[in-house]
Amino acid sequence: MDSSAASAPTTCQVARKINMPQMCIDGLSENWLFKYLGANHWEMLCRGLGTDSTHLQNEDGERLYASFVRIRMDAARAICAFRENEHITLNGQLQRYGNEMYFSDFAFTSQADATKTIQAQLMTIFSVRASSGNQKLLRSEARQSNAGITALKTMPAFGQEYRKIKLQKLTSIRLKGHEFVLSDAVLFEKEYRLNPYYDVNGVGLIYFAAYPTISDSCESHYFNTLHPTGKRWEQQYFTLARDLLYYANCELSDTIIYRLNQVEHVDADTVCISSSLYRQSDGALMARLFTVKGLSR
Amino acid sequence: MGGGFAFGPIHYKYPTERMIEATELAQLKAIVRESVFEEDLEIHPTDHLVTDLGLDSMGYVDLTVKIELTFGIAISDKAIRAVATFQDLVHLITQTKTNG
Repeated sequence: MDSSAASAPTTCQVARKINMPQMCIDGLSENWLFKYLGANHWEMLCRGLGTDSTHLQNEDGERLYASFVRIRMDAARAICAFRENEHITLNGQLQRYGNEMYFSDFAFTSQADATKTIQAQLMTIFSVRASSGNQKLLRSEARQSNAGITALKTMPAFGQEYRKIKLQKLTSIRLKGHEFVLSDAVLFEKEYRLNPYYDVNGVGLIYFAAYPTISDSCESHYFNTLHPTGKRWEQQYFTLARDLLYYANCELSDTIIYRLNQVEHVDADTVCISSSLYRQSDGALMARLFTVKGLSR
Repeated sequence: MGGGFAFGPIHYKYPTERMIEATELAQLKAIVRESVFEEDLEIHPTDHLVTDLGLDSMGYVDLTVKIELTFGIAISDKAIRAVATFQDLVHLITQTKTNG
């Protein structure tokens, strides 16, 4: 159970215990962490707008959805360092740029060991469904007043970088001190069939937290095939940092194409991986993922 | 599309150029350039913000905030979405300033 001590609607301070639902493969589940960060971002947003999520609408009365644009997390130690029954605190704050872009910053820290900490940044916009499908989501803004959410005077670098990459004005990003050069090279490709029981959220869209899991699932297939004996990839390498740029959603009937773009072993314990996800139906880019993983000893 | 703007007492190439002061026009061009990350971009009145100048959907948000802060006006989401060309943008700012 969470216990909350937030002092303002657009901040959060939550304490909880890590247990089985929050874990996978010997440590903290990144999928759960993304959902947890996303839920707290969303809650601060709704509190700031003074409404609940089901009543978020634009001026035309259309239901608004939060579309995650970019998420970056950077852990001081690999996420497997968080263990069962560990008590953590999540501190966060939300700000906006204009009426449409919302940025949150979080610190997820062990109460017993401050060296176990994860910094995260999230960026969302509002969108409406252009039709009944998921392929076309249109940008929109809430009719509810956002005066209670602190307005930024300049777009954070986190958002600027996203735009520059999309507009091809930026060709590399840095994550945990490592440079990732954007690449469309294909080292490995794999089809991923969506699992509606797991990959889809409560409004029928591919959940933003599913993207890294889909990537990890396909990535592990590649590394486990390369090294078929010994410990599995998933049990050896754990996420240290991740930067995820979202571009599109897709229909449940569609298939996702995973592409491994780059792998660089920067030292004996650290590997940098670039990957991307595409819709099979029209080849649209759905996301770019930049990941630093560390070897667990 | 024509060349640069001609300010001064003589001739105006486009009617919308008369609606805004030269310094404000220069500020507006600088804002558009910042919003598309192109410092040296040439901007002509009939240039389409998206197809000619390369503004993306998030660029509209950036543009709106910068205009609001620079010119001290509030621009609605609907109004900015209706803007197609640079001269439409000039017109929107002039109208908004006039109507308060």
